[in-house]
Order: sequence, then structure tokens, then C-alpha cells
Amino acid sequence: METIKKKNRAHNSIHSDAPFTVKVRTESNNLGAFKTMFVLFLIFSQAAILILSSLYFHALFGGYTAITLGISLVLCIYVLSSEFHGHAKAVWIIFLLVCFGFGWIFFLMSDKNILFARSRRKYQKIFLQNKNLQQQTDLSSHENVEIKTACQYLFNTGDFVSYTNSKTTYYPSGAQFFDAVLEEIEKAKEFVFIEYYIVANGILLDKFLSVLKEKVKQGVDVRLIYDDMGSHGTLKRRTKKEIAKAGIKIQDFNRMVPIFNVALNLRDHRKIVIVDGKVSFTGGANLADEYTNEKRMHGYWKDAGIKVEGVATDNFTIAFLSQWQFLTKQKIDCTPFLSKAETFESDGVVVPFVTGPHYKNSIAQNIFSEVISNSKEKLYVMTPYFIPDETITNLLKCKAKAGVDVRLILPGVPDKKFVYDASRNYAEKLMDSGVRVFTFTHSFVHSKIVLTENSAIVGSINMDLRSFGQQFESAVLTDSHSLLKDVNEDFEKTIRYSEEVTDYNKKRRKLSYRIWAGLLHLISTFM
Amino acid sequence: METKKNYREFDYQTIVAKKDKVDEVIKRYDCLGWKAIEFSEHDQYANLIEIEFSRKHFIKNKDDLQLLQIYIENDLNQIGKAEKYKHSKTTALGLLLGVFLVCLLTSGISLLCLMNTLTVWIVSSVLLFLALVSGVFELIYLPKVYRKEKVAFSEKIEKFNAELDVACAKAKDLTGEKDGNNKEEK
Repeated sequence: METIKKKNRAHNSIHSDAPFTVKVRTESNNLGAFKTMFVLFLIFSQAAILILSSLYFHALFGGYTAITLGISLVLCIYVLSSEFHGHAKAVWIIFLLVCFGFGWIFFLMSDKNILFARSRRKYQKIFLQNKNLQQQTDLSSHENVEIKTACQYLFNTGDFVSYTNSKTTYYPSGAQFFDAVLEEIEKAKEFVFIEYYIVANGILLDKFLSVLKEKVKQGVDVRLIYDDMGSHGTLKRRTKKEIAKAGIKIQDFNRMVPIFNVALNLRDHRKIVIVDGKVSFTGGANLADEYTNEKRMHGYWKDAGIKVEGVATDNFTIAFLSQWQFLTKQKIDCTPFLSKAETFESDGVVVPFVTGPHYKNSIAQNIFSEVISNSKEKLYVMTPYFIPDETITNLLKCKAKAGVDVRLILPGVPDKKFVYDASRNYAEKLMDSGVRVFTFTHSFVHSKIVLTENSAIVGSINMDLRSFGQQFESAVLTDSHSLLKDVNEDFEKTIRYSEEVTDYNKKRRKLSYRIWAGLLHLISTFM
Repeated sequence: METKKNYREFDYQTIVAKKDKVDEVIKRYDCLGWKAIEFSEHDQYANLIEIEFSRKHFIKNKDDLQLLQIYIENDLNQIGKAEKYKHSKTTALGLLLGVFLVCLLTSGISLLCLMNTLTVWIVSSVLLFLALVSGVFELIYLPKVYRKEKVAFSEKIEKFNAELDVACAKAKDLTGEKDGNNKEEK
């Protein structure tokens, strides 16, 4: 054994009797967790004050009860006629009627049509400004008929152009993905745009910053958007200052403030890197060490990403600049940043797209529905969280019953127990219809992939209600043969290391499980 | 003086391990291509040690090696857990029966000392008899439980070691270095 390096500390005589033999670095930012807890405490305190004030008014003024009941009934009618999915409608109606004293306040504060109306108008203005910058590709001669409706939907809803002259590369792990990202950033000559939900201090961020700082010195325009809640407690204030000082333009999205405001729930969950308008990346991995397995959290961290080379990158460029314009309030002309890439011989259609609560309908949910409904032979899904709405649930059941090989891969190691139990509950209910559910042993699956025999979606979109309705997301829809082959291989390999869930019926018979599952189902709308 | 780390070409990982398991840990991590470069005392516990490993950043089959590392760590920790709770059943049963025996004995003797009636005599005799029976039961049954646990423990350890050997062999195949001997980074 090599010489032991002794640190200058008092001699320790305490012995640990922990059962582990080895433990890998899992340090967490305790200060960050404390700050988050403190903010949450303030927010919940305000919510409590709101509730107590409402109850006080009830006691003080008898008419208040009648007024609030009337308002709640009106809102119930509004909810019934709204576009909320069925489960959310039921939960909101129960909440409004049971807690009619203060429920209407929470509802009004959380309804996107009210709460988000001004921001939505701003986004709409930016969208119209950037509309028609690109021409839609004529797909009439494209051999894959099934993908055409999906492509047309994306174009009609979000102006996302489909490309047949761009190529894609699939990365089945965060480590491979970020190696490719860094390699491309090192070649950057004009601009590098980065948008992440989580940006965390650590080895990966240090690598990024050392390259980006060099690029700034070379005159490259480097911009970074990070989500303030996602990066809360992981990205130190000192580092933010260091980033800004280095000349990297940095913007936080939806800053976390200790004020009770349901808008705090709307987060930027995108993971996009764009280099010179020629290459772009998206996937499940954030800018943090656990995504490359440098840091150990929840076993092996399985992630995936996709590289898009070619003019298709323009879709992400426009999306990033639109977000930047929204955050900085500075009007941006996207034209100088577009059409930079060369054309490639491609074996399929590539459509990078983004989603968000600023769109009237949930693009994520609808595109998933479209792809799932087009599957005829196989449908594989990899997702860390599985809390779908009735549409997706029914589609999956129908497909399985129609003989499509439907497989769902979930994590074997949970990161959030409640959400994991809810995901397992939803997934296991599909098993009766023939859906096969797998859990990746000793691993946390963070990839978000939907694969059928004729198309795939790889990106940041979880198959849950948060991704569908409350988060800004990014993904790529493609039917590239080579990519489908790579994704399929990744699925097959992951399934080899997974365990198929078979004990559902035994669990289902227990009363305690049925009660727990029922409660989870009730609150899953808010997960 | 600390060597400056070269994060572009090498990966680094710090592991906390029990001092009596260091050689085993180094051997298993070696299969994955990790080389131990530094050892430090743990901040808090005297029986733990921090080992810093390094490995080339760009290596073949890195994803598979990272996954295998989880399995290896899991097996090592299962061994640690098995060793810690090697005789948990024996200990628990022994303590339970022991406390029961002591309670019976003290109750029987105290009753005899405090009162001197026929009923008390009978009750205390019964208590003392039960104490004797439980003592004999403990003497006969506990060693059986102990032996069973020992056998189960050995089987567990054998199973985990076999899994570790398989994982290590796989890892060596993946690194392409069946004979070991990665160059150490300095």
C-alpha cells in the first residue's frame, strides 16, 4: 500500500460501524439544500397565512361564505368546460368544493390562462416575429408515411420545420454525450448557446467553463440560460459571477423568489447546446457530474442524447434566441444565426422541436400520442417518471392489446420515492393489457426516449404531466434508419440488464397497497 | 505538494473504504481500469480511508465499465453488510432469551425472598423452573442458530465473491487488459 497521506487534523479515534465497504463521492450541497428548504418554508408560510386569513374572513363576515361558495361553483363550471385532462378536472373540482373558502384563490393563482396570460402574449409576439424564417420541406415523396402527420403537426403548431438534409447521432450515455458536446464546442468559431435545467458545480462544469472561457477570448458569442429552480443549490453564486466576469452572457429562467406564486412551478427543463448554428445537441442529461457518473447518485445513471448536424439546428437556434429575447427583453433578429450549416446525405427526416406552457396545446403530449398511435410492431419507452394522462394511457393499452410489442423501462433505483411509486403504479396498471414493464437494475434511468419501428423521439420530455403542461422541453423527432437502429440496440442492451416486473398481482391484493396507490393517483396531477 | 489533476485526459474518483478492505477494493477497481494514486485518512472515522483513483478519460467500453462498477460496488457493500450482520439473529435471540431468563430468575428469587407463603413458593418454583428450561433451551438452540447463520453467511460471501469475480473478468475483457498493468497517471 502507498504511503498514507495524513491530513492535519486531530487524531480520530471514532470508528464508523456503517455496513458499507465502499462509498463513492456523493457530496451534496448542504447549503443549497438549506436555502431551498428556507425558501419553501417561506412559501408555505405565505400559503398558510392566505388560508388562515380566508378562514378569519369566514368567521368575521357571514356573507363571505356565500360569496366564496358562489365563486367556487363558477370555477367548477369553468374547469368542467376547460381543456384540462379528466383527472385534473376531478381533482380541481374536489379541491374547489371541499376548500371553497380559499381553494378559488389557489386555482386563480395557478390557472395558466390567468397567471401566464401576459407572458404568453409576449411569447406569441416573439413567435410571430420569427415565424416563416424557414421553409417547410416537401415530404410528399418521403417513404415513411406515418411520420408525415407528426411533422405537419409540429410545423402547424410551432413552425418546426422538418429536414431531410441533416444527420443525427445517438449517444446512449451522458459520458459519451458530453464528450461529443465538448469536442464540438472546442471547434466553435461564431457562437455557442447553452440552455440547461440544472447547471451544477463540479468536474463537468469546470471542463465546460475552461473551454468556454477560451472561446470567449477568441471572440465567440457564448450564452447560457439556466433554470433557477433546477440550479438552485447546485450552481454557486460565486460561479455565476465568475461566468459573467469571463464574458459569458448568463441568464436565469424564472428566478425563485420567496413569494407564494404558483408560476414558480413553470420551469425551463430544456437541455440544448448549439454550436455555430451547424451542430446542436439535446437529450436527458443536465450539466452536472451525476449525469456522467462522476458522482454517485441512485446507482448507475443511465442517460441518452442526440446530436443534430445540419440546417435542422436552426429550429433549436430560433427556440433559444426566442427564449433569450423573452428573458432579456431585447429584440433579436435570428436571421444572422441561421442557415449556417452544410447539407448532409440523410437517411430520414429530422425535426428538432421545443414545447412549453406558452403553447395553447401540449405539443409534447400530442406528438407522443401521434408517434404512439403510428406504431404497428413495437413501441419502446424509456422514462424516469411515468405519470401519463388518459390519452397516452389508453393509447398504450390499445396498442398492447392490438399485438404491438409495448415495453416500458423505468428506473430500478428511485430518486424521488413518491413520484417513483406513482410511476410504478401507473406502469403496472398497463400490464393487464400486455404492456411489459422493466426496471433497470441498480440504476436510475434518466433517458427520455420513445421508439417505434418507424420513428423515435429523443429529448428532455418525461412521460409525465409536468413535462406535458408545465415545463419548457426540447426533443428531436426522427425516422433516420441509423438512429433507430442505435436506439433499438440501446433498448435491447438496457433490457438485458433489467428485471421484468412480475409481482404486480401479488402486490395489488394488499389493502395497504391499494390505499397508497389510490392516494398517489389523486395527487399525481400535482407531481 | 499536490499533483495538478489533468481532467482532460484522466478521470478521478474518490472512494471511502474500510481500512481492512483496502486491498480487496484496490484489486476490484483495478479490473475496471482504475489505479490508486493517493490515500488519505478519513476526516471523521479512524477505521475508514479515502482512496483516490484515476483512469484514462477516453477508454473503450466506458459505459459498460461504469455499469459494472455499480454491480461491483453493490456486491462489495453486500459483503460488508453480511459481515456486519453476520450473527444478528443469534445476537437478537440470545439477548431476548437472556433478558427473559434474567427476568424469570430475578422474579422467582425476589418472590422467595420477599414472601414466605405456599402460593409464593409454588409461583417462584414455577418461575425458577421456567428460567432453567429457558436456560437449557438457549444453550441447545443458540449454537444451532449460530451454526446455521455461519453456513448462510459463508454461502452469501461465496455467492458475492463469485459475482465479483465474474464482474471483474468481464471488466478486464472490456478494458482489453486481461493481464492488468494500466500505466499510472502522474
